[in-house]
Amino acid sequence: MAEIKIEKKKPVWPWIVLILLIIVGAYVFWAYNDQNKNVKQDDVITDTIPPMNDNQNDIEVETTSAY
Amino acid sequence: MKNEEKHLYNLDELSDYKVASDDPDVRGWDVRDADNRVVGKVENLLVNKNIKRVVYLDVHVDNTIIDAKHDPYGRPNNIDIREFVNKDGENHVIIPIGMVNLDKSNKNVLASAIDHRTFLETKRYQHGTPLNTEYETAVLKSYNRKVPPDYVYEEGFYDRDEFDRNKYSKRGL
Repeated sequence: MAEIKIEKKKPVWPWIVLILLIIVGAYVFWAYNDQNKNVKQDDVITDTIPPMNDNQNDIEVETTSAY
Repeated sequence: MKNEEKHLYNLDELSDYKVASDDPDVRGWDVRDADNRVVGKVENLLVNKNIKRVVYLDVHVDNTIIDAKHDPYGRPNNIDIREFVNKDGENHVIIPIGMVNLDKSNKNVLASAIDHRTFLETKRYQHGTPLNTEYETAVLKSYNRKVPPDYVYEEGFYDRDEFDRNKYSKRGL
């Protein structure tokens, strides 16, 4: 049977917007992750401080024993 | 050809329309007559936007048809005989969609109801020339010789059997 119907083409712009959103989303995700990495490194640095405090305590203890 | 409001469009002209996904795009397919001879190739699809479907196949005819130099059948009364001949450069013909079958596996358009002589005798037009209703009725009368000679284009022209394969095939043509 020969019948050929036509239909309106679906607009392309929603796909373009979707792709742009994905790109922006991926960029934001990447940038946020990168920031988090820096924060973790800072944490490691603060963790190294307490042993210094321990040493100070030791010194105090030594002073007391001498007395 | 006389100027009148355009009602037929090449599908290529309608950039926001395409062939429906369920239907084949027959552009580029060979057109075969009742004797299974290739008479041309589908170059475009002529669409009526109001009814949202293809009503004619625009066929670039084979040189064998042009070289035969037949005079067209059924000259309209208000056109001079000199105007109603196939001139140089007129190498396209239209076929109502209901008068063909589609051989999808071999990508052929089968105009089983139209013999080779009828194709030779059908008025052609030059690609790019706007089609008018007078040409459409002349072509219709050439393909279907039962159409009365005084028949003129009327409201609901595309409701005719020639534009609907279901109805046309029921007539045993």
